[in-house]
Amino acid sequence: MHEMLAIYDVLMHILSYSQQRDLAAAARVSRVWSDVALDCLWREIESVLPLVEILFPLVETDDGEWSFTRSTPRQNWERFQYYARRIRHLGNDDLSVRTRKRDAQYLLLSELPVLIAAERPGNEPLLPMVQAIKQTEILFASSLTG
Amino acid sequence: MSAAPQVTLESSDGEKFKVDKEVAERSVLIKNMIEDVGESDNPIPLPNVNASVLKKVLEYCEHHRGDPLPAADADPSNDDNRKRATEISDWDQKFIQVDQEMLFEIILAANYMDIKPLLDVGCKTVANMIKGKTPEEIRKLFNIVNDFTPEEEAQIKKENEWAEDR
Repeated sequence: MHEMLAIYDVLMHILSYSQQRDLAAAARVSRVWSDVALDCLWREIESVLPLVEILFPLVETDDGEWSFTRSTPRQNWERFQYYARRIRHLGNDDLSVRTRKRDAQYLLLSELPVLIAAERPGNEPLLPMVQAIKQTEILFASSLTG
Repeated sequence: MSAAPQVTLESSDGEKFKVDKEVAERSVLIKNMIEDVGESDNPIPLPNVNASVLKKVLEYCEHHRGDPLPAADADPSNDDNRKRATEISDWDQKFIQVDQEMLFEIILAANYMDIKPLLDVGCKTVANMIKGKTPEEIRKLFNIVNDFTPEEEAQIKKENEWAEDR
């Protein structure tokens, strides 16, 4: 491998031109690439759901419904923090298209403040790097940043 | 242009290049060096750039000598880059059609010499190379060793699946 491909700033410059799907692929190339690609991918996210679903994964049941478990193991919190510290801007979820999965996601988000309060292991900020949170997100984000 | 002020650059392997000051100053590093030490006949050493790469870099600077200088505060990690098409002008496209080793050396030189438009062209070119490829295809292309366990890789895939259809 050429030394250029292991320099954080240069790799960040390259990946700043990549689409999200290419960043998702780059995140699995190697540890060095992963760190840069995930910083790039998670820096500004449109939805809080990818992060929330790390804590409370949605599972499809046999009858096509979606559900989630209301408790989360310690290792999920570690994965949550692994991504949360990269987020600087949180966008606006579009929950207007209603599907069965959407309904479960909506329920998850509405219960989130209670779930977080009950399950959170420590008191460190949940989204330490977030600078901007847009409107409707505030409802859910207040439980994340508080 | 014969009366234009000139400077001499010296590559890591000792080759000297006499170029117009205006051309050399496409490099912010060189521009700052000239400002710091003032006009001088001494060659400016570039210990990180060899002659073949410097020749190529100067070819770029010569072609773009009259271009307006880019804004200094442009943030490469800014998300707007992604929305901007990874377009490269025809001349730049032709210029950057080099083997992978030279491409990477040009990027390193542009980074070191602080020539942002050239760094952009090089980085866009690499971004275009990985577009649509799988992790394994990217590793093969660039000779990168996979240091993830299959479990770790699967976990990252799962956690980032939301990004795959975007």
